[in-house]
Amino acid sequence: MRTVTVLGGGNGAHAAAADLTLKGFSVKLFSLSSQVLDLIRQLGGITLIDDCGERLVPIYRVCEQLPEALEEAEIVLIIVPALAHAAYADGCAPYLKAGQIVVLNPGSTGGALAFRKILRDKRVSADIPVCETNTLAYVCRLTGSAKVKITVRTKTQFASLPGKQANMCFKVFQEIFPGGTARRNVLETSLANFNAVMHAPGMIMNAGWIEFTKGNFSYYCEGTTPAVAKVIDEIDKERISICKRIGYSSDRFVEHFYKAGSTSENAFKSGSVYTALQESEPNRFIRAPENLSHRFLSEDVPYGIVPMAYLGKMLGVRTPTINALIDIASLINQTDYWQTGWTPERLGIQGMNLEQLISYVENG
Amino acid sequence: MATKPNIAVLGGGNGAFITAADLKLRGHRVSICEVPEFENNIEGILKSKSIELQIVGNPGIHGGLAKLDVVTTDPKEALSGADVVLVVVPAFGQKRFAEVCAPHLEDGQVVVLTPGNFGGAIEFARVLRAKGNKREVKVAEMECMIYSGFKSEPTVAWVSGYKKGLRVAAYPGSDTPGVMRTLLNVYADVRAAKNVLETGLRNINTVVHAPILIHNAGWAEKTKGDFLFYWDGCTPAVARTAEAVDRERISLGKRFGLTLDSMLEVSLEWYGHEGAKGTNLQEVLSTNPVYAKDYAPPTLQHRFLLEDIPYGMVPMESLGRLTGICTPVTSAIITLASELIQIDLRSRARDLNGLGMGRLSVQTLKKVVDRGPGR
Repeated sequence: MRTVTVLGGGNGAHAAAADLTLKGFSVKLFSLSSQVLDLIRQLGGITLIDDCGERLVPIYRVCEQLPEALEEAEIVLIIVPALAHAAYADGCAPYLKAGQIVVLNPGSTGGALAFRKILRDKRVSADIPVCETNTLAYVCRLTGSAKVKITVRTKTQFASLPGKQANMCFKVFQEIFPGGTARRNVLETSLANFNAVMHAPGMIMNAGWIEFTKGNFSYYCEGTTPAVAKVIDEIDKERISICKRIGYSSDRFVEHFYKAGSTSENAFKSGSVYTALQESEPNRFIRAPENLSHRFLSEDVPYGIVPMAYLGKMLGVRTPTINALIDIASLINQTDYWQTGWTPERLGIQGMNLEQLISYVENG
Repeated sequence: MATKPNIAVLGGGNGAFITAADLKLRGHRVSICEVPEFENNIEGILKSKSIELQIVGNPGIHGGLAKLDVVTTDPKEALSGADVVLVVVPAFGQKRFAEVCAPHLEDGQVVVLTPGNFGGAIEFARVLRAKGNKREVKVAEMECMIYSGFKSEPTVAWVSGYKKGLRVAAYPGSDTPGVMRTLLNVYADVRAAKNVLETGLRNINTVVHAPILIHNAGWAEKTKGDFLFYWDGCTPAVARTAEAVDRERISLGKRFGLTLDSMLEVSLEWYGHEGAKGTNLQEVLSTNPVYAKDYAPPTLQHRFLLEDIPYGMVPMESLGRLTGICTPVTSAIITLASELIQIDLRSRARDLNGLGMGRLSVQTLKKVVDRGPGR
């Protein structure tokens, strides 16, 4: 496979477009935000900064329209915030063809389910596996116009909906992102949304600090104090209870964080969330958000811990701390995230019991 | 009774020192008593019996050197000849003082818990009865402590705020008029509340302290409280949480026939005379001159969570269950606080069950607070 389609215009999409080009792929890039594409055209490509230095990477095709980007694509990487998945699902639906696979990178909690629900509602007849990763394939940030810095190339977890096509899909995925782990089904990747687990408590417990100083502190190092880390640990435990009920055992946050290359061996051995974040080199200097409408709440709550809470409810697992965070987040941002987020209806799984849920994610 | 009632102040912390000093400077006879296990609180003034009261801002009271009449760990000595007994201790200390006072109360004394926190007067009265007290005393509570301030050294106390219009109620409610007649000779600005449900539900510490601290937990823990709690910490989003708890509190009040003022209204009533102003809660709290130097707690193991939740928010939650009023925000704060400090705050609560009223209906509870138990 030589051509890869990248849909998106933010940090991750820039990183992937440039990085995959350097790896030898022909990248067709499209974003619903046309200014982003104009900038890349004007500047002759994307500037990639990493350990190897800084270089301008011309992109094979900066597409004018979505159908052009999807034409003859084998793998369609959708690298956007979860909030935008629906728009891309709507946009792609008429053009997806058998033989293509879609990868939501990442899927948040329920991305593949929600995307597939939209394709079904739009009567897409072709059998398109919708895959997702549990986190973005990069730790990266845009540092200027069409300029992106990659700090870490993350080994992600991967799963396909339906799960029975996992082998085939993972093989394709590994051609562009080697390393990483294939999981049984998208429930496992969705519940491995460690970003949501890590982000929501810090936002609520530092809401005043964020608003008053406009985020003038280091989010992970200073903002995740021992007490805040206890809340992260508790919601992680509630998440693990849901995994257990589904029938598999999940890594704890600290284990995952270490395996993803985000913290030290010492932290891993300590098992302490607080230590894991204190000793997280890639995150040491990440500044706190300037305000509370940041994706750490506006994405990680409705498309992260909300679907987790709903899964818990459906399966009889109590999630009091997760529920408390959702309620307070909804209050401070004046949005009922229980309603605006990925409800069982939007995921196409309402009313299912455990057996039905497993059957659906395995077989589609 | 002298025109200026004799005062016994029970307690040895911030509030007790300020209370004792202020009332002595105003010409009352004042004794102060701390329980033996906390004797170190009053060690500094045992010999000199003097507290220096310093004033910050414009609370409208005078400072000076107050030479108390009695400083002791012996409740009999402190209570002897007192007309008014002011219990100025954290909520979890109230029961202990009821136990030590029970044998030494005198007929006609008026005991006022300042503040009561939810159920303070009820618990105090129950303990007196259980300990066989036969004296005719009245037990009442204030909705909050009248002063805002702290103790800075073993012998020095600071006051920055003085609340006007503080509500007082006795348990049973039928004793309130008698309490007021006496208490108005001590504090001319207090007002009668309908009953101790009203004073309990009007304690707005319950509504502001935990939400503001939870939303600034990282900041407080990391910097050891190096920011102004209200001026910096009460941002618009933080105020939204406090307001939501406030709305739950007001809904609960309605079910008991109480029309409770909002936190905004209470803040302006208490501190308008010192310059508090604003049209919304965030504005009032973040600019109130009384709070100009109020730094945040240096640790989360602080009464804003350890006291205000078990003795304020959890009772609200239990009243919610009794009345069928949902209190999701209050409940969420309790849950998050418990996780933050790794203490099950619900298990420590003095809620309706803890007061022996867990099985009462709304109607019966209303009757009991007005007329007392068993009538």
